[in-house]
Amino acid sequence: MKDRMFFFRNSPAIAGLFVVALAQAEVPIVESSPVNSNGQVQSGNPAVTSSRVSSRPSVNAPGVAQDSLYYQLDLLQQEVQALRGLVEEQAHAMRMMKQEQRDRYIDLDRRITKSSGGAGLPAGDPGSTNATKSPAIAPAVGGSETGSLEKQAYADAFELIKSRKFEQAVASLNAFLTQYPSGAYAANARYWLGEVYLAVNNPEQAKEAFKQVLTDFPEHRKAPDAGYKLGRVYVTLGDKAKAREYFEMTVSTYPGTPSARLSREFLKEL
Amino acid sequence: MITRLTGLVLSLALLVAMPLRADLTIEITQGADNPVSVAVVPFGWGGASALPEDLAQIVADDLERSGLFAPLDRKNMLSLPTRTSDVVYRDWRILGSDYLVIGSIGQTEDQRFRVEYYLFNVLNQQVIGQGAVTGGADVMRDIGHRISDLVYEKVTGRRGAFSTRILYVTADRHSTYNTDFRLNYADADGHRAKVIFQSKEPVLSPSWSPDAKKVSYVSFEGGRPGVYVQNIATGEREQITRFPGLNSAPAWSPDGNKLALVLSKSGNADIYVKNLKSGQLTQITRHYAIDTEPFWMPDGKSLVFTSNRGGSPQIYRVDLENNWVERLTFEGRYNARARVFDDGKSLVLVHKGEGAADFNIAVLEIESGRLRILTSTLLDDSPSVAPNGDMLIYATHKGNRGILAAVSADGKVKFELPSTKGDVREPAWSPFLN
Repeated sequence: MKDRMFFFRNSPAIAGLFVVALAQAEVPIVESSPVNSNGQVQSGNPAVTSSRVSSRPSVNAPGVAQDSLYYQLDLLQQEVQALRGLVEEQAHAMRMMKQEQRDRYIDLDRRITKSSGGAGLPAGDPGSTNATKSPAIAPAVGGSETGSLEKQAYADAFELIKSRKFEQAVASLNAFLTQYPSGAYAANARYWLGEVYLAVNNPEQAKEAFKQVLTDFPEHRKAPDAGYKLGRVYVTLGDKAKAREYFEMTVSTYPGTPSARLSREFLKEL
Repeated sequence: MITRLTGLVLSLALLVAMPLRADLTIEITQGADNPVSVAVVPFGWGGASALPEDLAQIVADDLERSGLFAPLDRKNMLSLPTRTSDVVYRDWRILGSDYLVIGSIGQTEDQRFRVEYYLFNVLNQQVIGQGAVTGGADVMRDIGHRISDLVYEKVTGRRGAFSTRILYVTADRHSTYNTDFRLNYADADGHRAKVIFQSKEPVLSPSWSPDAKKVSYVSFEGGRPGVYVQNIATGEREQITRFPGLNSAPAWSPDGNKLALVLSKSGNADIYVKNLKSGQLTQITRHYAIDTEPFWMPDGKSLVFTSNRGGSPQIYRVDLENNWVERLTFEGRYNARARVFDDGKSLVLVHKGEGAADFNIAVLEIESGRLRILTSTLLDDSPSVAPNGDMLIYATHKGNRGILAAVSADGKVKFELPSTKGDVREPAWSPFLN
């Protein structure tokens, strides 16, 4: 039902037909209400006459007027729906802007309070730029504890992957790896960098990322996945010998993992 | 309803679109980034006959599927203790297991099984959970899931949902006019499925009563849709509504006394609430646009529903006191079929991306309006939340068949459920059973 309704509403051609039908319906007056209140398109056969309508004294005017009223009502409903959507979206955007403005003000206020009252900070300390910055940014995560900051940075990058913002994800993951080259999530970040490169059709870079997972973190949980993916990359690049090499390595080095199973399946097809 | 119809139309387009989009599908073959390592030792058994189920395997599988645990492979275990006195902590520290589960099974005089189990924290060398259950062969899987629940709760601090159930619909199409529609009832891991209702006409929208004893669904038996309530244990059925036009999308209120549903008896799809005790029917929404797919907020004071009153399908919330309607989704041109997490803070819904078949499962934080997309396959549909809010089950497509899959609420863990014959759709995760 829904689809039919959309079809009708979105199709000027059908609306046009309807007008033509109205124009042709001269003497046998048509009780053609093409859209009932249910939104369903009714049989639009102009030859179907309605005795109730045609028995009226003034033959043409009321029927046509009634039909055109239906038509106008329908147009109005569409218009109101579209406008309602706009109003809702704009109200939402305004609420968001207000919120953002307030947050910015609070953040600014906090920083000003910090810097004007922050006499305790040693001026010549090499880490002072960080020290003034981090408490303002991440007061909620318990000061400037690197572990949670790292986790957050990784989660943010991962969020970009999930929402398929691949270009931003590449930048974010690379920044993450520069900042935490040997952190707890370094292997994961590298692996996902490979995945994202694959997604944006850049197998050469993907290859490098996966290889680094294998060489730098051969014991990591992502290593078998990287091995399997390398095989896939070489399949994409058309190098079957290399692909076979990596699939076989994954099967023999990481038996029992899902990646080993997937590799075995691919080996059968190579 | 909107989702389903669009889905049908799009499945044709999908056949063409699939190969082109395949490159963008990211495979997540693994679970969380740093899962907790746990060893589940095969349970001791002195009986002569073979055990009906491998309890330790059930527990290990449960924990692994949650994605938060990495169970140790049995082959690598250095010792196989079955009693607390046999546990050598050093063995498990070497293997890197943070937690250890052991157990033993004995037989009672009436041929039932008595299972004793212990959960150890390997690092501080303490028993942090234990229990003993007696039951027949038919409840061995229940016992296994109960042990998994204990481990999950002790380690994560959140209640486990392994002992819960799912309902889903299968459509087994023999020919154009001969399809078997079945309503299935199964464990949360897909095992022990059984058919609780079967019809040659479509069966849709199963919804659990809050005590998990009854199910409400739409059946087209007799050629017209009607809303039915069925007692799962007895099979006893009752017809709730059968008005002309639509009777669809029933959703049980948190107190169990009411059903929200969609009727078109006034000419257009609107949300109604039927009081199951008094039989009173109240119209909640009144709009010439389509209002459908209602679901209750946990406090029972408002409903979320899908409506195209703003020109595109979006999620709205209606306050049942004053019928005030508020829009909740603003990202994208299509958000539908919302289900609410038990904390009332988030919704899971079907969100349409840019591609024609890009229907994905997404979680909306109501307060902040933040939308997180959890899945990246095509035509994902009908999400349902586990009662602990940690996992979601949903319908998706594999090949040209409908299957069920699950994803963690943070999107990191995914798995597919063992597929049964025919098309599988519309899963509904039960509340906690007790």
